[in-house]
Amino acid sequence: MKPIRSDWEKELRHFPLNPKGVPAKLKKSVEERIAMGVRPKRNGARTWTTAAALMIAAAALFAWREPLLGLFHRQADTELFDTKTERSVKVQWMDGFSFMSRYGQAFIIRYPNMDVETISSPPYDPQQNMTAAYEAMIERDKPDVVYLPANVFKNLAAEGKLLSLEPFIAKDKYDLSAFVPGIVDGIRELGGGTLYGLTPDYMSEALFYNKDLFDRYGVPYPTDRMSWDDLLRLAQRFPASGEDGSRVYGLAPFLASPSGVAESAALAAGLSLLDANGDWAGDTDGWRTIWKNVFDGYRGGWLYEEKSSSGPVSGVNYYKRNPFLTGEAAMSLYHFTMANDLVEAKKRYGLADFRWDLVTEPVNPNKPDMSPTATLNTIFAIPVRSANAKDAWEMIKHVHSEEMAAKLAVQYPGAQGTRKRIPKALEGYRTDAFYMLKPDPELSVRAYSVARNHLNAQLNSIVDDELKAAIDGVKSFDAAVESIRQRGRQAVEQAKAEERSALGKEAAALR
Amino acid sequence: MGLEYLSTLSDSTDKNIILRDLMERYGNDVWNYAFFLTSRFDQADDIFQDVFIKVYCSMFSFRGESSVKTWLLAITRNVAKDHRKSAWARRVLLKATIRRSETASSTEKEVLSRMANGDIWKAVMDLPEKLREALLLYAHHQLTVPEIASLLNISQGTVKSRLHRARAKVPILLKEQLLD
Repeated sequence: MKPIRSDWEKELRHFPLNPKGVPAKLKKSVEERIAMGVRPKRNGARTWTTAAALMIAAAALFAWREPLLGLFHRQADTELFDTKTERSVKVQWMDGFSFMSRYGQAFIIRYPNMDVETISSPPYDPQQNMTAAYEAMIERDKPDVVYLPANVFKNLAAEGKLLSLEPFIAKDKYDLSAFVPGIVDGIRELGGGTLYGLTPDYMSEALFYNKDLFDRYGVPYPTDRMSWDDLLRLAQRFPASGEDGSRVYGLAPFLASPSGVAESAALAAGLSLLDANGDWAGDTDGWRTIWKNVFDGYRGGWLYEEKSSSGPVSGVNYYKRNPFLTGEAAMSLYHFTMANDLVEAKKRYGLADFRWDLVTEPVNPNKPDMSPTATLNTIFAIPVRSANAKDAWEMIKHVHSEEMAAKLAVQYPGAQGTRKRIPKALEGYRTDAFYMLKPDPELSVRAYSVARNHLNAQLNSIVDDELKAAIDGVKSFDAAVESIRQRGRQAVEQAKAEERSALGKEAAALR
Repeated sequence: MGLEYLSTLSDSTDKNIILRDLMERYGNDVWNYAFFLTSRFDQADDIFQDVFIKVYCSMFSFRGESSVKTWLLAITRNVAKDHRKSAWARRVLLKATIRRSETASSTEKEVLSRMANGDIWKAVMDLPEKLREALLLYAHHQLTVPEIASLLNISQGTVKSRLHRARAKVPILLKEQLLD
């Protein structure tokens, strides 16, 4: 019988039911109910808002002194911008409220004469042409600043619906070199050679490695710009025997499943299961080699596979789910958040108590400067017919300012900004590994192709099924490859047939 | 999310933003307290909504004599009281199935038992209501004894005695859990 714990009272500090806070849905329903007609009484409102404001302000001011002061003593480059006349700038963002707390309020603090109006992005609808939805929104709501998914951005730029930022940049001598190399070029490429937008954050991967494990097993540290073959060869050198909990994995891939590893390796090799026409392209030797590597990796036990785990996800358990943080994986491909998690897990729970560092993710040896995974998610731009282009540009500068980057780094420590800055906690680590490779603009556009994503998910589950059967010894590797090819082609053909019949119906409806 | 902009608040301040920030910061406290009072997830959800709608409509005004958290918890307590009354009325009038509201129902117990430290939470939820409330205001919401006294409108001595009794009782309940 286990003993009664004596420290139970301390455990009551955290009620683990809503570890991430009250569900957003519930908060939303409060707002909805208010919007639906509960009308506030104007006077009483002021009493409590002001009181609450004063109350909280004292505490908040203290905690936020630094970022706040940062916002005030900066006047130099705003001479051309009218800081006297009262007016407003209209911004479209994922949702208006969040924009205000992220960027909008700080803008108003910086320019007290400015007001910010917000509208929300068109709802994501896979059935709809998103470019058309954004165009309709711009036509109807006439925002001064828009926030566009990469594919919509590319289309609107090509149609001449966006305002070039180049004249503003030239006039203000705006310093583009403060951005991570490749970001500005990538956006310019999406705009057909002209810069129509900027983005404050993006995503890429880097290879984290546990120096202690490498030293213990006498394996040389990984290096920048390895190929996937190099990476898997390194991973193989870690012993894969032992029980979970004490054993070591060579590599914990970002998508820790057979199809996930295969997809990542294929991205770096420039391979896809679908060709440019959307036809099945998985019959090549290149794919076979990748599947073989994955098969060997799981069979040999040096690749980590994500476990479907239940149980608590808050506190220390959140970190314990990641095999790299627990010291069980020698290497891990991961987003910028991992760097922050490593620091936090150690600080809070004494986890991840080992020496670590990072190098770039593996690359396509033919394109050693391109990141196979980095994508530009969403881009700020100015519609060509904005009535307040100058204010819009000021807002875009504000969103991408060093002060905002510093503020957001505190609020969202895991996010990867497009400005070159290293968080204090990560000084001394090779965080430049995240910034050395250039994002591939085409990859950003493709990420939004919905039809393709759906089919891809289907194909990945086929790959998983078959490779797992082979890994478990239910069938031979060759038989698994044969099945992948057969089932893959079938799925692609079926998807194409469905697409044709949907188009047919649409045409019939138009008639 | 920081509440830093509140420092320059003026009449133009958007109430919606404050509402959001209050929900962000204190939403958990409100929901959890509502759950501790009712032992029901669905009621906690309802109370949570009503509390913030009332806050929005300024049906309770903040006078600055307590912390924002204590203020919100007091509103939560009031709303929960109203709910209990109306829930009682509904039950009586409709003769619907009666679920005891003093202790957690089987669904809630089931969920609690799967949580981290589920055994402790289950034991705490099995405490008599008054002891549970005092203990959780102290240990979970981290209120001080004087704050609890003024929130519950009882003397500080009573708060201390309830805390004392709760602390004595939890280990006994834990032991019972182990036995069955």
